[in-house]
Amino acid sequence: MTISPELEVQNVTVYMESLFVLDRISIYIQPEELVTILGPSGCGKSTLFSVIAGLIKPTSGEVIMHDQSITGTLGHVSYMTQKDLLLPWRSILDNVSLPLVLQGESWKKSREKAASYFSLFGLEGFETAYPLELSGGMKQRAALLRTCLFQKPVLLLDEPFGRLDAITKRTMQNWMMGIAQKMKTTILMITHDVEEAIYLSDRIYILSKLPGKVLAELTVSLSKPRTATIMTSSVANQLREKILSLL
Amino acid sequence: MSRFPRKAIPSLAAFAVFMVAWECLGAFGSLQDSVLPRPSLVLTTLIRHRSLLWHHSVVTLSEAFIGFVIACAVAFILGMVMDNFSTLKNALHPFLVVSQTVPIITLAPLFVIWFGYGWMPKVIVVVMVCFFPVVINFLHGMEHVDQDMITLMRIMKASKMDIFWLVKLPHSLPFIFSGLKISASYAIMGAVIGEWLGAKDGLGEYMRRSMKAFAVEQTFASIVIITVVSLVWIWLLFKIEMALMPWRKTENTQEE
Repeated sequence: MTISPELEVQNVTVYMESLFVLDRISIYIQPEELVTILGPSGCGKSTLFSVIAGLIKPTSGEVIMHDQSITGTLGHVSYMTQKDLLLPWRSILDNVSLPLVLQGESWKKSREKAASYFSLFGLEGFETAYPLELSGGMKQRAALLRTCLFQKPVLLLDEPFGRLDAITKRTMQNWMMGIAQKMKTTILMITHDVEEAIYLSDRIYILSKLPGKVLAELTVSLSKPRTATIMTSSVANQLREKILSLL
Repeated sequence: MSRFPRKAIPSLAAFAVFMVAWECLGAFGSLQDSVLPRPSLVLTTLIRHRSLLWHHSVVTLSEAFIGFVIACAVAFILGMVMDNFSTLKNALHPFLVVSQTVPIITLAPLFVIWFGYGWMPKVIVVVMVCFFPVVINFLHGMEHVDQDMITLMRIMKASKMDIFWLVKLPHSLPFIFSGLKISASYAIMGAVIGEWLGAKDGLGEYMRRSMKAFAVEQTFASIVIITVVSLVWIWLLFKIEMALMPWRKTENTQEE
């Protein structure tokens, strides 16, 4: 690889009290790439994200962004969890404007900027609605818009569609791939859904059970944009078998 | 009027039946007016003594209201500070709870000794009975904020103040208002009891004089005023609560 990675995790090991959570994890992500971390529940995936986001300082190892260590410091990446975490007492527009406001922008300017993305995110007409009035899929789109507006080079998505029904999930996945291309975002995503990983990723890291360590790094050589039919192709089938044999 | 709640009709009817029955029992001599005066007698007393009752009510209400406002301010500041400094919270919380096992009313005579017959001892009693429900509910509300929400705010580089104003305070509002509604009824009670122990005017003093004169209908008149004022007070709080939390309205309509 000639381009330098957007983000790199080097030999991260985490012990929480006496629990061995992460074992020398090393991963990287290139600009505009979509990489998923696939592993069984409770394999320390979310801990890895907490380390990257700077919420937890690893026992050893480094998180590097643009040749600088960001280990244990907040505010370098955008982060979205499977809970939408929208503030129930604020309108959708205010909720998505929040990251801009917290970076020192005025409410007025932040709202203007945020509002300009509403049609792209399929939220137009819901600016003044409260989160409770939105469907699950819409809430996740609003949460994703908020994450994007934090304007950090890398988006961490922790099972973003984990709580959606199968049909909404597929619609959201297609829509997100479109957004990722339009906005040229770099996405690192956690999932325990094999299909989702194959469908969305450029590369997949497979994590083991506790203590989590990287079992394999797989490149998904399916062309983009992807459609449902691609999932039954021989490439996808081989990939699926390989993943299932590893897990 | 179309918004008049149908659910209220049975309870209003029951109230009317009760009042009419009471009135009839009194009118036919089954109840003596000197023991349990008829509603009509209480009503005429209210009208006959209206300027006197107005004067006393204003005094009592002012004491209750001033005490209530001070209690809210103290509760808000204390809640904010205690939430920010956990050591202080751990230090003060037991005292707050234990202080409530002291019946505040029994302290009222002390305040009369220290501060005389003016408004001061009444306001102090009101503050002491009102502030506890508010501060405890406020703290409780802040403790139950979704921690993931706070984590997300931290990732977005929010300051402690941002987190307080954007997350903790709005989340605590329903809790604060439950506390305020309890305090509202305590407030008038606190002021009246303060007045019983010695005052120049106020509804409590009026009640004391009525009691000495065995004027039962006057005592009832004061009870009616206190009840109505408490009701209006709580209704006002309810209205303010609705206005401050428009997102809860959508919550309610969705449930229906």
